[in-house]
Amino acid sequence: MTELQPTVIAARKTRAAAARIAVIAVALIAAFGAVAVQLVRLGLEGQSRVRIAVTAPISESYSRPPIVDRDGRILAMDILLPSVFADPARILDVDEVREKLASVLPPRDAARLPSLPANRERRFVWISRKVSTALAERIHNFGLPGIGFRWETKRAYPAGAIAGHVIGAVNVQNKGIAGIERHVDLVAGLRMARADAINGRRAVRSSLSLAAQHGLEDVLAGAMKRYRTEAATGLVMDVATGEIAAAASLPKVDPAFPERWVASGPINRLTAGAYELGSIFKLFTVAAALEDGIARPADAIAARPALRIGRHEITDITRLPTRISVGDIIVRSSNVAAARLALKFGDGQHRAALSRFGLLGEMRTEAGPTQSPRVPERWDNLARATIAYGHGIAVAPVQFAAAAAALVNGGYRVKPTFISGAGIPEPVRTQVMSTKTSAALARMMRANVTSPLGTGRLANVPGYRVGGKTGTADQPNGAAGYDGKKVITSFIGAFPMPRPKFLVFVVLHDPKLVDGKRLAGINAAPTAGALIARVAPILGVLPERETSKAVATGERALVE
Amino acid sequence: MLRFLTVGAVLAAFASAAFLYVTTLQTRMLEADLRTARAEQRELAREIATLRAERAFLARPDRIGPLARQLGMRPALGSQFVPAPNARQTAHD
Repeated sequence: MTELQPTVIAARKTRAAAARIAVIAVALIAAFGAVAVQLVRLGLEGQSRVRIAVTAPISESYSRPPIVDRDGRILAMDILLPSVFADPARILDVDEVREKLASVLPPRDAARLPSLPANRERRFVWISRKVSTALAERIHNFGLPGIGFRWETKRAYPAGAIAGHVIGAVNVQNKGIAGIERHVDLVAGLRMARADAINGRRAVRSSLSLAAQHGLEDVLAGAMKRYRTEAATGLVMDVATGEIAAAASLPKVDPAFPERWVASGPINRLTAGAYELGSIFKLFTVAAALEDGIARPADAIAARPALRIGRHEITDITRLPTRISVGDIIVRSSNVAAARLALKFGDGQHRAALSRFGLLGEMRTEAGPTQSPRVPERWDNLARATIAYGHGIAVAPVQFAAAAAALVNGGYRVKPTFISGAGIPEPVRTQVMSTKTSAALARMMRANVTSPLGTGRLANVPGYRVGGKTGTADQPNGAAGYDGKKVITSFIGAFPMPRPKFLVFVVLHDPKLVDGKRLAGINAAPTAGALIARVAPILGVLPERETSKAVATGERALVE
Repeated sequence: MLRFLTVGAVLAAFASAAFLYVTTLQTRMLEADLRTARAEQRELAREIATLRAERAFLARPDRIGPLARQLGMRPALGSQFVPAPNARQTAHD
């Protein structure tokens, strides 16, 4: 045995140590490498869950805020409903799919099923959108390969057709196309809807009261039946803020089925139509005369004989005294006296006054643009005389009502609005007539209802101190003249006088004869009275206590 | 000394790997729970929205009105409201 030299032994030990170090270094590098790989993998994994399930683009859907009435009751809201789609490439037996789906789908969607085979090159085809969950479950239970479901946002209108014209409608993508729904898109903006999540957006609070709205529509529907009218329109407005508590145009429309009315259905006659409204315009004639110092309430003015301007003769339907007071122009509704009063205006004075009251400009509400007023090209004596009693000028009822609010609210212009809190704030309101003139008009309107000779007697509701004015206007016949048998009757009123809280406006289109008459005093006035009796308690206006027994009797007569 | 450091580093590497594995596992489980909870939340929100719509639909005036009339009820009249001080007396009348 030869002993190894110490240097050889030392060299061997060094080599062994170097080998161990190399092995450990490799192991450590591998371990830390694995950790690094895992970290990167974990980091990426959170973003790797996106799956492209379809190759064809899916149409967009938008979420919308709910719309509630002034008391928080739902008028419109989003719900999620399943939509059925097909991936034609995965369908095994097209005939089976067509047969089974046709047995449960609505006819309109079933009719599209034959197009399925032709679309085999596509990976996504809608079968039926926004179906009920029960129907989706039936389809699911068929177990058909290639048939799938997606949640989609659908606008629901739980209150039904109530306030349909005002609420408006949305399209299949849930975009607003009419009414407040469209307004919401403009001011609150659209948001892309998550396919399977309901939105938590803050509700838009409307100024409408669901209960008052129902009362209005019920009363108008009764009037349409009783007087066999072609249509009926009405509103209830806060005279101070312009907030509209109820607004209806009958025949009404259902927001859930916009395809039935948006393009060609009944229009919203409250905003989309401009009409000659007749004698209710005398309120503005008198207001302008008082405001411009042309007359005082007690001044006498000739109501007879008839007034002749060129070939035209202006008459009254009843025989009035030779001279009546300016106040009696409202109470007894004299065309002749109103026309004579208007002829006292200087050049441009009449038009300027009506413009100041807000009757001649453009107007827009959240329910959409309002029909522009139609005014004569030449504001000559004949135009001035006929406009004095509401002929020769046509305005949308909502615009007229907004202007009329100033007659009874101290003279302040209001902006009609369907959104709670959106009226003109009190500090920045514009005064368009003096408080004195406004008070005088309020007294005249009250007298029109309380006087035995007043044309608005049947609008009286005991305890509510109703004031107002009737209007009966011949309807244009489409040519240059008027249809002698068709009229628009109306009643503009306010309660409780002399400082009213609410204004009511009722317009009946083409009411038929009752007892040989079709004047506003016998159809529009009692309709307005019934409306006030119905909605006043809902809106928190209670009758005066001392007349409670009379109130009860009077109200029952009106409501029943 | 170097040997201890080396062994320590190896053990630390294994411990880190084990910790990472456990943490990853727990995270995945929590993520799964979160996904389930979110799905349940969406499902409940869907159901709540549907129930709210159904409740509003059932309470709509067009439906309640005729039913109330069938039961002999009528719209409330102003005369049926009395100021609070008179309420007791009216109730006793």
